[in-house]
Amino acid sequence: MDDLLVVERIRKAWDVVALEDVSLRLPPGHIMGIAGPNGSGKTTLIRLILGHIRPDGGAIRVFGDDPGLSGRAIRSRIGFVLDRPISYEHLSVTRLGRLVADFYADWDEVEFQRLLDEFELPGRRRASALSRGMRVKLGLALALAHNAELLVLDEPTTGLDPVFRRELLARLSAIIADGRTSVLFSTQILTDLDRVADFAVFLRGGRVVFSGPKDDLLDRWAIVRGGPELAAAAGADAVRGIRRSRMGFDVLFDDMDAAKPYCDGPAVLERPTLDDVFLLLGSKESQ
Amino acid sequence: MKALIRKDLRLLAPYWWLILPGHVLFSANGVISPEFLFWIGVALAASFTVGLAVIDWRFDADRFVAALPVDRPAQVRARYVGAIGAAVLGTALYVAYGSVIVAAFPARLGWRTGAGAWNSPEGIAVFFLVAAALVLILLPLLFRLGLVRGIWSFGFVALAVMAVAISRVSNAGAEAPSQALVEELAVFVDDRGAAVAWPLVLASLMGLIWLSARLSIAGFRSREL
Repeated sequence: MDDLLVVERIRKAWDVVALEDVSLRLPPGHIMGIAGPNGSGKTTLIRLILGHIRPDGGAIRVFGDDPGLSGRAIRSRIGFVLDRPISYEHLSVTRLGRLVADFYADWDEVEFQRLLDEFELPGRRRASALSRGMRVKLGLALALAHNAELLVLDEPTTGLDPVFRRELLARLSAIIADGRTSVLFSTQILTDLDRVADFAVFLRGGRVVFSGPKDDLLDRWAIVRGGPELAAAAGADAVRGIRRSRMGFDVLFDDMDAAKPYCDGPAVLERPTLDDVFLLLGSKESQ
Repeated sequence: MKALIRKDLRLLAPYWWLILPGHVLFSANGVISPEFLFWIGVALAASFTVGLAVIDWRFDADRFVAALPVDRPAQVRARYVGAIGAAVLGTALYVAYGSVIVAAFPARLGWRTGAGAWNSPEGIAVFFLVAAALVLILLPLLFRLGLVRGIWSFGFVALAVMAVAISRVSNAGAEAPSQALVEELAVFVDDRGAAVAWPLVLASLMGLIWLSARLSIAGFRSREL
């Protein structure tokens, strides 16, 4: 089946470059997590996908169409939770549901009410009186009540307590079980990716430093932690990052087999966590 | 577009109840003079039209709305329908309260009657044109520049328009700005005949709305949210 989302060599700059040469593909029935620090371009990428801004270069296709040209048709098939999950916060939960329902031909009021019950959202309460977690739940209920095929969430787990974060991520996993719906979410918390993402994208300074299946990364990549002699590994093809440590160096390899020859003596080989990969990728501290 | 208009009506619902007492409270000051009633009425109409025009910005919801399945020209058109509708409502209330005041204080105020009177077709048309003109200027600036820069720019444009209007009124020797406008329109209608003049006025208004909306659509399309 065709990819729901294709981003090819996107470039976007204002006073500074926000995104440079960013590419990614999201097939149906999968979750993609975009991670990166503040200012890395996560929200800019989401704004481009939603058609809020236009790229300076490259191309975006959502359901095969350009969001800059077919934005309305595309957005009717997207559910979204923005960094500020809810607007019109003076309205009650039910009224907000009615307001949003008007925009979607496929709105399913029964499903919306079911989601409100599931998320324990009181229909009469004003959105402004809801906690951050409850607002994210409401945003998710609004996003899910119109049979969206692509869910786009901008840092949905930020500011949530660990229990609700876990619930939300479990919910995202359940959403893609139909094999038709995909989820794209951004986060600063790498364990979110570890829990649910099929594909991981790491952004740093507007550039993709890693993009690919998360399991490939965790299965195939390796870290060697060792003494100063590991500095010699810096030039190897499979090395994706090297950083000084208390023992000497930590070296990230994108191929476990390529890492093994460096594991003689005191050096140890480990499977990396996503935190390790993110911290080490692109670092060149051997000099 | 219907969904957008319904959205605005829903958002304004908590404030509807303010309209009638607000008019009673402020329009009562219209006993001072017809000119006062005119500008109070314009200010009240502007409070609906401008309030409606900025409603998505007021709730910091422009990205939220832009993420819904609506295109930008539809957003602009819905905003114009709402704002012009609000100007019609403001005009209706102006006429209603003006009638009450004139009926209550017929002798005291010395309101003009006949051509050029506040409640003549020319008087009502001028009121509506002034109320509508506010949004026809404001909306393109808001859609192009956003709320803060748009309002600032509108302030400068409004000052320039007022300066021109005041100098014209002074040169014409009229007693009051609104009266001068009504008289000008009355002369225009007299000169051409009502059958020609009113369609021309209507066509000019439609042309201005079209032009303003085109500017808004062009500005909004190029704006990044």
